[in-house]
Amino acid sequence: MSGTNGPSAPMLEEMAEQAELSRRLRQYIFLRWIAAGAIPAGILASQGIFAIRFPAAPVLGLALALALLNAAFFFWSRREQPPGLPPGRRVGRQKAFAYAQIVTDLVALTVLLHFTGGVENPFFILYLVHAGVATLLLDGRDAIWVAVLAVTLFAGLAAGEFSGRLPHVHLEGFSSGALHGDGAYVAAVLIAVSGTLLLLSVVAAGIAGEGRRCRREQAAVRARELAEARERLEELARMRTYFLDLASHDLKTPLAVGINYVQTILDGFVGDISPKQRRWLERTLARLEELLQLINDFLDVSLLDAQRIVQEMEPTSLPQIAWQAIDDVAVRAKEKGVAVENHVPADLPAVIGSPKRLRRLLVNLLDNGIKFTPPGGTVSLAAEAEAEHIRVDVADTGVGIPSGHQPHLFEDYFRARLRQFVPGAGLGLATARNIVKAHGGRIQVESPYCPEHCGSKFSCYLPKEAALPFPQDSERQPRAERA
Amino acid sequence: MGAEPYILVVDDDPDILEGIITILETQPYRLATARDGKQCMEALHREKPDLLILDLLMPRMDGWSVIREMRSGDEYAGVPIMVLTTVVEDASRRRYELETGLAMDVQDYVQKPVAPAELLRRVNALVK
Repeated sequence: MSGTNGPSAPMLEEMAEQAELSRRLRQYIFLRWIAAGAIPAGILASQGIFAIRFPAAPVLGLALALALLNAAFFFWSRREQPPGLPPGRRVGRQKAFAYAQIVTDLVALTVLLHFTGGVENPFFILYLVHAGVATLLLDGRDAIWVAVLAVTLFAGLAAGEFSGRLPHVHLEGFSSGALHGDGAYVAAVLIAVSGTLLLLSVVAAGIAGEGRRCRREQAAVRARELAEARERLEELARMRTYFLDLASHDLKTPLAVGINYVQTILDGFVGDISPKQRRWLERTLARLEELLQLINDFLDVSLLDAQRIVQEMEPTSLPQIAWQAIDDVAVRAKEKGVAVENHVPADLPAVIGSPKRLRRLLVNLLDNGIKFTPPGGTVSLAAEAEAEHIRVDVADTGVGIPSGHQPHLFEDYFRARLRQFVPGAGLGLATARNIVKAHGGRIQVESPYCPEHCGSKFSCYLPKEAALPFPQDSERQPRAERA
Repeated sequence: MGAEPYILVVDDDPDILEGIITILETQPYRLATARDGKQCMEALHREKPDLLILDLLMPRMDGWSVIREMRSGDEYAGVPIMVLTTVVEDASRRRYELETGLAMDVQDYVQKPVAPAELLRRVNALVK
């Protein structure tokens, strides 16, 4: 099936995984701020309250280094990922980032232990916390490698101090100071820590793996459901198109025959007619064409296809379109006795749009204004270039729109100002909204907008073609006002 | 090819056929009609026209199928097609693309109703 394809199952799963990882990485960085703050607090507590003596300067230095590193991690995590990177690559980058942080923490913990009594300091238990974090952030095998690294670092520290290759920092007032040289004690601590670490990481990796598998399956189910829903929608859209083709045919064929026959008679293909017959046939033709326009309006709302409009888009000169639209409504404005003013500046930058749809948009808005403005009133068309948009305003001096009706104004078949009968199906604004939306713009209404509490102003915001000078139409002389 | 261009007009609606023929008769054309896609294919087989004026929504075999059939081989590659229909051009082309995966290869697309003078202008542009 052609058309746009949504994200595949693996892609959805990777997107979910990426979001989850991002969340955990943010938490991890937050926890490290606490850890960096806890170190000075720990120095104060141990030396001030428990009277345990050890050199505070290197430990404080470590806390500072940890804080600086964390600041770097913090800014890296907020950095924009390169656009266009597939979710899989993003997850890979995030895992590498997590890995780097965990290794940094393990090294920092080992240095901290070294300056605070080595194996004599029971805070070696924190290795377990890091192994736990690794199972949350990394794949099972990587988490086990983290446990192996933790065991290696701790064993290296203990062995170094045991053999005398690393100077031992004694925690005065806490232990006898001989434990680091007690082979049985060091071996027991090492076995307990490494055994627990490895066991924990294997078990936790298994649980985390199970969770990830679950999430993967859920994502696959979601993707399948989405694909099915998309298929159903496409089928519906196809059926709708077919149905509308038929409806359009059935509604328009009898009319087309009628119009064609009348026109053929008027054009003299079937013999001469009297002036009175001509007048009557001309009136017949006008009414039939009115009915045809009405049917076209209905179909316009139903058939407007954003995809199709996008294909028609090109740099378009609004001043030119404005004149065409005003020409299109001139007869109706004259019949109603409403003046139509054009204030669109000739040097307006181009917009990216479908010329015929934009013309339709302006005609609909102008017609709407004419319809709801009493004789003697004015409908004005204006436009202005803004930073990213061209704003097009169609303002009238008509009866205004009750505020309660305004939210529904652009809905299909909503006829807002029903106080008196107004001919037409009331589809013009819904079509206008669809056209503006297909152009990536928006439409809004302000009513009453003039100081005398009257009239309505419709504003469309259309995306601007970046600094593209549009050839001016030199044939057209600016006209201030037409009726 | 004879001196007078040969035009085949296909529409299931007799009133429309008569209307078109009435207009085209004023010109030096040789005209033939068909009432659906199947008759159209038979008429095409008998004699290749200089222009095919084709309705789309017809019983038995619709106009899209006629276009698909004609454009799938070389035999009718040179026959210009003018679609004359009530179906909106966008919707029609979309339907053809959906069904065949190809762009609709027709030389003119005229939406009914069309003024007689306009029809003659466009027919003349295709047969000369």
